[in-house]
Amino acid sequence: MDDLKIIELFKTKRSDKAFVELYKIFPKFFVYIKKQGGNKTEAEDVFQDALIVIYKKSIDSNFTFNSSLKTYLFNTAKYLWWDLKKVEKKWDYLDSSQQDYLEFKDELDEFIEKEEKIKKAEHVLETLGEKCKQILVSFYFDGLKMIEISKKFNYSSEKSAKTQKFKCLEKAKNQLLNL
Amino acid sequence: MRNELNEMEIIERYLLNTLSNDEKIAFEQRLKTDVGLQKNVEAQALLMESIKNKGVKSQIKKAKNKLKWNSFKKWFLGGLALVALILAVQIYVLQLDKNDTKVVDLSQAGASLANQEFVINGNKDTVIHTQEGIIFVIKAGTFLNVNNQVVEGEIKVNIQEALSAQAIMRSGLSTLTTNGELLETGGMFNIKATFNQEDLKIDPNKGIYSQIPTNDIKADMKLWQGVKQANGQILWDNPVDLVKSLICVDMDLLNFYPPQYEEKLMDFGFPNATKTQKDSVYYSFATHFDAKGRSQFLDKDRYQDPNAHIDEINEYKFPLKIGLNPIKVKAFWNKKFNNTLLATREFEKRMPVIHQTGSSEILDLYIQNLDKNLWEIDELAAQKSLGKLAQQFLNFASLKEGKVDVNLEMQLLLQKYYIKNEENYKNTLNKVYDYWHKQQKADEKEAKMDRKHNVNEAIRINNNLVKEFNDNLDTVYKQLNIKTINKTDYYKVQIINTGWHNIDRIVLEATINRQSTEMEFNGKKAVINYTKLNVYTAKFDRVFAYVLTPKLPSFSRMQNAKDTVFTPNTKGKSKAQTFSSLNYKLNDYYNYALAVIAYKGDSVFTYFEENIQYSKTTDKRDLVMDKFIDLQYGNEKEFFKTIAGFTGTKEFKKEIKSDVNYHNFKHQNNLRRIKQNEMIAFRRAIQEFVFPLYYLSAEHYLSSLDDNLDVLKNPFPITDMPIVNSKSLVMVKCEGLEDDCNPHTFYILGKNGESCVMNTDFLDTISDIGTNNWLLKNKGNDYVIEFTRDNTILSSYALQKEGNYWVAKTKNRILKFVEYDFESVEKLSTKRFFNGEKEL
Repeated sequence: MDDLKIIELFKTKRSDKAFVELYKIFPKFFVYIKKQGGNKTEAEDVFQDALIVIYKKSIDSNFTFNSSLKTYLFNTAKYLWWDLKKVEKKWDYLDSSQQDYLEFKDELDEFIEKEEKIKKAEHVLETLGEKCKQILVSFYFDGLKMIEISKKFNYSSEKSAKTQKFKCLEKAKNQLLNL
Repeated sequence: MRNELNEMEIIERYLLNTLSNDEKIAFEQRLKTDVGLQKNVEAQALLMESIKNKGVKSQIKKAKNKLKWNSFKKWFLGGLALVALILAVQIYVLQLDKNDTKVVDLSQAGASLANQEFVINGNKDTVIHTQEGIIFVIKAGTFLNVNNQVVEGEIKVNIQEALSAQAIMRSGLSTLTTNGELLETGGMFNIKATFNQEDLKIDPNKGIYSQIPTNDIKADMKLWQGVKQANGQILWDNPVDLVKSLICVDMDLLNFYPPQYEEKLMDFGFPNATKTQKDSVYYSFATHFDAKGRSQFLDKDRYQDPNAHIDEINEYKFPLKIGLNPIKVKAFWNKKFNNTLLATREFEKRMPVIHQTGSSEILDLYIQNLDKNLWEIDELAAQKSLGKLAQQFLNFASLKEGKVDVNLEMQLLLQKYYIKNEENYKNTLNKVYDYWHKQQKADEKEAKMDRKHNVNEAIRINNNLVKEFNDNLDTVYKQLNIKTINKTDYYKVQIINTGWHNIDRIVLEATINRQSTEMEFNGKKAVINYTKLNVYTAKFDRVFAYVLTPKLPSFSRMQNAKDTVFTPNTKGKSKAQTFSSLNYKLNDYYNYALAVIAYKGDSVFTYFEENIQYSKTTDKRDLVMDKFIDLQYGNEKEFFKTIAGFTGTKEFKKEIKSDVNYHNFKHQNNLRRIKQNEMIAFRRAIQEFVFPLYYLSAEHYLSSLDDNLDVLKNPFPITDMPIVNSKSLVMVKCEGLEDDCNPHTFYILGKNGESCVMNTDFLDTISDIGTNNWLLKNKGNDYVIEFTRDNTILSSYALQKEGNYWVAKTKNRILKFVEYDFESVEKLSTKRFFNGEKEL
C-alpha cells in the first residue's frame, strides 16, 4: 500500500485499514526497543502514540513529508521513546534522512507537550459511563450526526440525545477543571 | 437544555468552527475578558481532542488484533510451530463453526487421520517411522500394564498424526488450552498402545523419544497433553519442555564443508567433483597453517612477470592463516565419530557458523564435550565469539538441543583418536608440498635455460654481425675502388666504436639495421642491399625458420610475425586461408639456405631450400620476397642432417638443434605455467570460501590497494591515506541505535597517527547518514575516534582497552573494536582492509 493510499484512507474515515498497514512495522520497532532495553508494553504505548501523530498529520491538509510514511512513523516512535526515557538530545538518535528535520522536531515536541494534557483528559473520560463514552466517540471521532446517534443509542429524539451528550461532556469537563 | 449546556454547545460550535460570523465575533469578544470562559473553552477543546484520541486508539487496537490474527493465520497455514498430544485418551474435538459451537467425536473426524498400526516387541528397542515422518524411539520395557508391570510380547502401537495445517483443520482438533489460550502447533499426534486389547501406559522413567519433522524449530515449543473435559472436548494442559534427544546419522550423510564451498567448486569448473576430489582440494588448504606451506605463496618475486598486469602479480600473495584448519574437520569427519553428537544433523547446522568464526577453539568445544548437551556447548561457543556470530550460537542454544549418550570410556578413546588423526593428516600434505616443490624446481630449471640461451644467442648474433659488417665493408670498398687497408686490422674493430671512418660508420649502421643503403665516395657509388624475405606456411602449433649461409659463423632465426590471411589465386580455389608468417632481411651479398621446422602435436614437418639470393646489383633497392612454402612430414634427425650437409660443418647443426630444443622446452614449460597459474587463480578464488570468515569480506582475500580504494569510494585523496601497519581495528559490536550502529566500519591506522577514513556513504545500510564519518586515529599506543559531519569534528573519544576489546563510549553508542593482526599486512604494506558485515 503506498503512502498516498494510507493518507487517503485516513482522510476518508477508513483509518482502520491504514492502521493495519502501518502496524506492520511494529515488530521492527519492537526489536529496536528491545535492544534499548524496553519491554513490549512500552513499545506498544509509544508506537500507538506515534500512530496518533501520523493520523493527525495525515488528516491535516498542510501535511507534507519527504521520507516515506513508515520511516516517518518509525522516527516518530523512536523520538517518543527517547522522550519517555527522559533522554535529552533525543534528536541525535534519529537519522538525518528525516529531511523535514527541524519542523518535524518542533511538531513532535508540541505533540508531546499537548499529549500530557490530553492524557489527563483521557483519564477523566475513562471515569464516564460506557454509553457516555460511546456517544462522545461517535460524535467527535466517527463524525456521526446527532440524529444518527439518537437512533443508534435508542433516544426518543435528537434533542434528548444532544442533551445527553452535553451532560456527559459537562461531567467530564467539571472533573477536568477541578483537577 | 440548561444554560450551562447551551453554553457548552456554543463553545463546541466555536471549536468546530460552525458559528456564524456575527456569533463568532461576539464570542471572541467575550473570550478576551472572561477567564472562566477561557478555561471552559480550553477544557472542552482538550476533551474533544482526547475523545478523538480514544477513537483513534480503539482503531489502532483493532488493527493490532487484526494483524495478530493475520499472522497467526499465516503461521497456522504454514504449519510451523507447537507440538501437542497425548496418550490413550479417547479424543473429542471442539470445532468452532461460524456461530455455534458443536462437539464432534474424533472417532468420526478420525476418518481423515489414518490410524497407523505398528506391532512391536516389548522386549526390544524399536524405532517407528510414521508416514508423516515422526520418529518414535521406544526402548525395551517402555510399556506398562495397569499393574505397572513391564509388558513383554507383541504390543500394538496405534498412531494418529496431524502435522500439516490442512490435516489439523480437517481433523477438527482445537489448539485451546485449559486456560482458554490458543496454542501455536507444530503438529499433533496420538499414540496408543494395547496388549491383548488392554490399554498400556508409558513408563515415565523411560519415556518415548520422539522427533517431529519441522521446517522451523521454535525455541519455546512444549509438549502438551490432551485432557478430556466433561463435555467431551479436548483441551491442552500440563505442558512440558521438549526433551530433544539427538539422533545420530552416518557421517557419510553429513556435510561439514564450509558454506558455499561445494557450490563454488562447481562454479569454478569442477561440476562433477567426487567427494574424494572435494576433500583433496579442501584439505590441501591446511598448507596455509604452516610456514612451509605458506612460503610458496608469499614469495614476492615468484610470479613476477614484467608483462603481467599489476593485479596478476599480486594475486594469491595473500594466503590467510586465520580460519578453521581443514585438518581439524577431516579428523572428525569419519565413521569413528558415528554415534556422537558430531554425527547429527543438529551439529551439521552449526558447522557453517563455526566455519565463519574461523576458530579452532570453538570447534574444539564441540569435539571435546561429546558428553554435554549441544545447547550447553552452544553457550560456551557464544562466549567465545563476537557480535552476530555470538548471537547465532545463542540462537542455537535456545533450541535446547540435547545430547547423544556416549560412555566416558568411548569418549576418551575418541578424543585420543581425534588428536592422533589430526597429526596423521598433517603428514598427508606432502603431496601438496611435492607439487609446489616440483613447480619450484621447474621454475629454476627454466630460469637456468633462459640464461644459457640468452648468452648463446647474444654471442651468435654478435659474431654474425661482426662478420657481416666486414663482408659489407669489403663489397663497399670494392665498389668504391678503395684498396682494403689491412684486413687483420678491421677484424679487430670493436663494432661499437664507429667513429674512425665515415664509410665504415654508414656500413655499420646499414648492417645493424639491415637496411639497403647507398653511399658515395670520391664521386663513386656503392650499395648494400637487403631483401625482406616473407615466408608463409600453413598453420602449425609452432614454426621455426632459419636462414643460413656458410659465409657467416652461425644461423639467423627468422622473426615470427602475425598470421596473415590470403586468398591465393590458384585455379578454382579462392578461399581465404590463414598462414603462419615469418620474416627476415636477407643480405643480397649472400647465398642463403632456408630451413624450416614445424610442429603439430607430436608430428614434425620440415622444409629445406638452397640458393635463396638476389643477383648482386649496384643499384639501391628495397625488395620484398614472398615465399609460400609447403612443409613435408618428416623428422628432426633428417632435418638436422640436411643442415649439416649444406653447411659442411657440424656447428650449424648443433646450434640450430639447441635452438629448436630450447624453444620446444619453452613451449612445454608454458603449458606448465598455464596450469600453474590456473591452479593459483583457482586457489585464490576458492580460498575465500574455504575460509568464509565472517569478519572478513571478499576484498580481504585480494590485495590490490587500488581496488580497495575504489570500492571504498574514499572522498579523500589517496595521499591522505596512511600506510597500514599490522594493527587493524575491526568494529565488531555497536550498542546504541540500530540504524547506524551495525558494524561496518573500522579502521586501520597509520604508523604516525595518520587517520584512515571511511565515508559511511559507501555502506548502503546506513546510507542515510549522509556525510558522517568515523575517523579513527592512532595516538601513541592508543586510539582516538572522531565523529565528523561534513568534515567538521563534532566529537572525539578515546578508546579504552577492556579485555579483548577496544571500546569507545560515545554519547549514544558503545563501539567495540578488536585488533586484528593480519600477518599479510606486514607483507604488503599497501594493503588496506574494510569490512561490511556479511549476511549469515
